[in-house]
Amino acid sequence: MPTMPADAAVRAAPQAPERRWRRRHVVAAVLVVGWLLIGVLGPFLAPYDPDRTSLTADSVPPFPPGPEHLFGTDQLGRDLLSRLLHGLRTSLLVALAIRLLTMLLGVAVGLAAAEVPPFAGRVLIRVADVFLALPPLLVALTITAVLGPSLPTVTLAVVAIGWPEVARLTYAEARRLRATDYVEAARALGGTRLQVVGRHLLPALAPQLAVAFSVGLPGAIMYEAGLSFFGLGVQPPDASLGTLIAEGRSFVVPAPWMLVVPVAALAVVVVSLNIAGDLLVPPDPRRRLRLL
Amino acid sequence: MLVRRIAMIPVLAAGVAVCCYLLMFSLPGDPARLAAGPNASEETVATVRAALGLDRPLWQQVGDYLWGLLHGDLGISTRSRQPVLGEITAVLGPTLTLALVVEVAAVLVGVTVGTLAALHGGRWVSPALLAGSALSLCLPLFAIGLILQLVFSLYLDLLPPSGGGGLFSTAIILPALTCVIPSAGFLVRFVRTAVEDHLADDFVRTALAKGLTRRSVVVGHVLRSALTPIIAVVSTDLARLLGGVALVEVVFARPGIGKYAFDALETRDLPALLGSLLVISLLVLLVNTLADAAYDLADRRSAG
Repeated sequence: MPTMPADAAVRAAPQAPERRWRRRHVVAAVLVVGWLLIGVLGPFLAPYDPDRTSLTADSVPPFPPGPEHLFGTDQLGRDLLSRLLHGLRTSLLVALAIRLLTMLLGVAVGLAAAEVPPFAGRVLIRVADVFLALPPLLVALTITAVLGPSLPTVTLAVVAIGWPEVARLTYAEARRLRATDYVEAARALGGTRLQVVGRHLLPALAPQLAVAFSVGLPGAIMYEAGLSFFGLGVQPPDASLGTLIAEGRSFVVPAPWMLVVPVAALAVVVVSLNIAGDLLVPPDPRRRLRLL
Repeated sequence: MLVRRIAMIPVLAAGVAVCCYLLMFSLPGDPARLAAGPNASEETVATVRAALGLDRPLWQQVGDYLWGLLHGDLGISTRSRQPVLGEITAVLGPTLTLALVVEVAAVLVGVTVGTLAALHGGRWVSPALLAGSALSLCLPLFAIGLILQLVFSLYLDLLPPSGGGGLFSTAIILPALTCVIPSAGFLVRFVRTAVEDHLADDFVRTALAKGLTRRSVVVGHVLRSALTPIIAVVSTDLARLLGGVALVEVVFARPGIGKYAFDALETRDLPALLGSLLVISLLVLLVNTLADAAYDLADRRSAG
């Protein structure tokens, strides 16, 4: 197979698209890190204690917009903005934990499948395939049924439906990389399996794994919101976007903003994270969509 | 190749069944205690455990479960004491009706709008469409459903907020619309790219040069070659939908397998939950196999 000399390949790469490519990544990183920062710092930005009730200022509508309660208050007089910021923190941190664990499990299985003898590897990947055929939502419901509703359960449930994709990606890339010259050279020089994986495969995989991590974030947020909405996740008095939406639904007639505000917040978070994902990878429509 | 795929169905189905079973009975929770109820004594739990066969080695349990499946036995619902299979077949109809209505509508909207956007994508139309389809993907189904309920039932008072109903009842409109929004948004985006990819192809230029009308070139040549990726996407979407309508059914209090599974969850009815999980998984498997077959029909090169 004729290969292009390395320096020719470098010279052939046009400069401008490369720089634009980098700018896309910076914007995407700012979006992802920005939301995670809001998640961490949210409670410090909140104007009120989210649990402070008020008998005089209950069900204050957010219109006309006033500085006192930007998004209004709920049926107990709790400031909706403060509750939203606390809820966002739960949702974002849970999503972060979900993605980290998903990546960990997926990468572990994917690398294992690539490193063990081919037959065993194929079996592992088939297991991942079977998991992909399972309806994610019902799997999550099943896990919650057995373990009981709680935050760790939701995390586990969403990890359980997300890891096969990461495993497949890691497996395919690791197989491709194993055939490259430098990995072969590392092995020929006497590198142990662990050394080859740790020094060569993982660093080469890192960019793609970072992309997979971010691309999965909005889905993780939506799943957590869905499960919490149905009372299977975060338990009161803790708030997440899902529980806020559920609460808003019960008071939708007297105080529709209680429903609209958290739904809008969820939409804004997911849209911006989706945009970040699209900036990282040119959108591939065949990408599996994870919606509730 | 098709024969091989069909032959793979039972193998995969068995894999799915084993996975479902292990998922439910290998987690740290205790299914026997769940079935016996929270106030049951140790003896009762032990009796239930023996009755459910949960005291035997795991491989025997899995074997028995698979054997039962072969005979159409999905177990007995702990809530209603009725066979799970009968209950599920009763609620499967509304779910399939909803899923098919949604998919047909989504394909109609997606292919039409996507193709038009690719052909007439001006400076404003394309970005507007892309923004619209991006927006349609930013909310989970249950949240879209809630907003539609708020607007169309509470404020405009046009459509019923909940309830079952077949193809020709107004109760199906809101749940269907809820599911169509993301599916169509996704398809519009995809069809537009797929059509654009082929507009510049040589065979399109040739077809135009030999005097075919624009319309027949678009339908007969461009869409024809975009057909295979569209089939792939629609089948993925349908599979996703089958698993995803559950929460929509709950939001709209609409009978269906998703609502059934959810009710089973609330009453800790594990056999019913396991059965719904399995039936939906098998449907997904079936959809994927059919899609593979359609794929081969649409593109002879991929059949081999």
